[in-house]
Amino acid sequence: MTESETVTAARDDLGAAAPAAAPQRLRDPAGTIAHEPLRLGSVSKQYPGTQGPAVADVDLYIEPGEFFSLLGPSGSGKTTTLRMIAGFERPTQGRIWLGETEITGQPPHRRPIHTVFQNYALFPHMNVRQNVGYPLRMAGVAKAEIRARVEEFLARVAVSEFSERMPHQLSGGQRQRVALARALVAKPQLVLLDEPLGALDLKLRQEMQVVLQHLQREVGITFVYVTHDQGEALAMSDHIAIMAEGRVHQIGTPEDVYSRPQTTFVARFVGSTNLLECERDGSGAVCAGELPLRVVDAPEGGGFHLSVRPEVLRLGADASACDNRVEGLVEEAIYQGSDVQLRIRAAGHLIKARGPVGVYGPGETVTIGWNAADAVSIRDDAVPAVANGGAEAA
Amino acid sequence: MSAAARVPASAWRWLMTLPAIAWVVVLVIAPNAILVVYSFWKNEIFGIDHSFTLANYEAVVQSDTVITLMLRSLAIAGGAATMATLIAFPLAYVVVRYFGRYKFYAALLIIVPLWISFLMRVFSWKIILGENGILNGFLETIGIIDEPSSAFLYSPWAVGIVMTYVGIPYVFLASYTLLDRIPPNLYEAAGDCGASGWRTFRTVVWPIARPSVVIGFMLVFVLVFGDYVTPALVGGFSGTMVGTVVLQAFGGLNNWPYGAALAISTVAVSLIVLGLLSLLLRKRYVLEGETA
Repeated sequence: MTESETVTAARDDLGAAAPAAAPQRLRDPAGTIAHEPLRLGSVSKQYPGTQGPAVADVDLYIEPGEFFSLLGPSGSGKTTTLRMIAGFERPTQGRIWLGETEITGQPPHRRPIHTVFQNYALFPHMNVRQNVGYPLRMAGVAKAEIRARVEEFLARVAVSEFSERMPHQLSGGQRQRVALARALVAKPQLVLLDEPLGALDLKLRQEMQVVLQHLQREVGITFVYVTHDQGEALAMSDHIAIMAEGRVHQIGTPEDVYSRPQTTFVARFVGSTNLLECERDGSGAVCAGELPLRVVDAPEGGGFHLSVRPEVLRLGADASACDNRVEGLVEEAIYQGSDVQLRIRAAGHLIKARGPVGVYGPGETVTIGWNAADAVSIRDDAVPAVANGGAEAA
Repeated sequence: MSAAARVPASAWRWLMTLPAIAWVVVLVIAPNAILVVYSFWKNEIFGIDHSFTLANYEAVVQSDTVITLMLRSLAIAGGAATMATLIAFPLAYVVVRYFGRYKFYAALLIIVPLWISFLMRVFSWKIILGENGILNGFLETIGIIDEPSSAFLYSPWAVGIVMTYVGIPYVFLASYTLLDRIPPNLYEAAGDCGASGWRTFRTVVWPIARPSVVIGFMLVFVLVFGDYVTPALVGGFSGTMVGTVVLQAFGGLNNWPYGAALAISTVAVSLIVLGLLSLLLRKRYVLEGETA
């Protein structure tokens, strides 16, 4: 399939799926915000003088009005992807569309897309009010309206009382809110957020997560959120794209990527898991090393990994009814408050499990068990080239 | 105990600041005080009359020559500082924004002339502007003039051109150090908010950079306003500036009280100009890495 065919096909999907899903998410009374989906078609970025692309062949479809996260470790290409959407970087290959308009070559100031920068990037010589009003001033909005809109958004992010302060007189959390107001005030199609909570302490971060989510729902603007914090992505997103080494490994709802990881990277990166390397023997039975296993969806041919989350593991007497059982030796028990994190050596594997407080200690023998349906098989040759072309919007 | 320990500490601190205080007193306050005192004395044939008089200042103010030279110096200093700023600030902007990792070397190339003697830098312009100079040769070759012109050298224009050249590294340094500290994401943020390149410059870069540009301008202005070397070398008679007469008063005329009054008047005019310029210096912002 050529590039343009791919795009046409994806747009057809979108035509069928989007109208059904989109209107429920639009909560702005004016109803004018976020009606354009964003689409990346086979986008790659190679920086001059570097080996290998920073972003390779990324296809994304982002629904109007959704909270979409790009999740990955540092160097995974998520920020580069965001910068290409914003227009700060030009893709080496591929195209970007906003609705029906191709924006691949548009300079940032012509795109209806605003960014919340990692270090906020507030203008140091303007006070809070002037900072927030800046996009409107650039858009040539009348003074009276700028004033009203700025007041509205300062109130939305709860910084009205600081409107006359200069950026250096604000705390990190307040700067964050001002940056957010500045990105939202002109009611763009899309707001891009580049690890906006990275510099805040834990408590403030949790508070801002709630603020962000509410704000996004209230104003009905599409959010594209870059983060390396899987907890953050799971908590806030409608859809998550998980990236590693410039490629998209999986796109799906938080539940999808957590409970049905498609690559071993996704299984490991999102939450905590036990990955067992599995093989089929001559008779077709599955075993992980020495350990024979019952697996419900074992792929035909080739090796695969079985992902077993710590929370699906049963211990001791609870394990007796499970499909898979194995004896193990507790090597480590780390007290976590509500439960104990266990590391258990069983049939040559080191298994992470959670147990009740004060029951299993190091050196004790324990039976571990899980039901075949609670584990997920991941093909070793799973190609990390995923297009979400509107498929899961249906 | 703690009080006993504190006394030597503060004494020590005094001792540490003593060299600085001595420096200021001996090399700044004392010479200027002497100059001020001299300006109120009167020159006699065989010495100096030590009674108070304002005659020297009257002579300064009533002299058409001094007024003319003062105005000419203002014009040349203002013109050279303006030209140096118009050239050096855009240069600094381009170097910071577009030279990437080579910006340091580019900056070095522009500042390198400062390592060469001031006299040499001025003198070399005689080779460029003179009758047998490079400029005349070039204009003759391309056929703009038929015979060498003496118009380029020995004029107020020559002084202005040379001082513009001399001033460029100063404005460049002042502009470069500040522009280099503007975080690159501010340019991106402005573009992101819908500002084109020019509006980013006007609404973000210039307001932040202005104080440092004004400082660069002031440096060049002060440097040019009191200069007598450049006018002597390339100014000719029509390029004489106020510094030249100050020098003559102390030198050839041997009239120190008059020279002192003339020098203090020059400093006063220059302070007035700097005072007005400093109104443009007000800065309300704090850049990353600075303390509020």
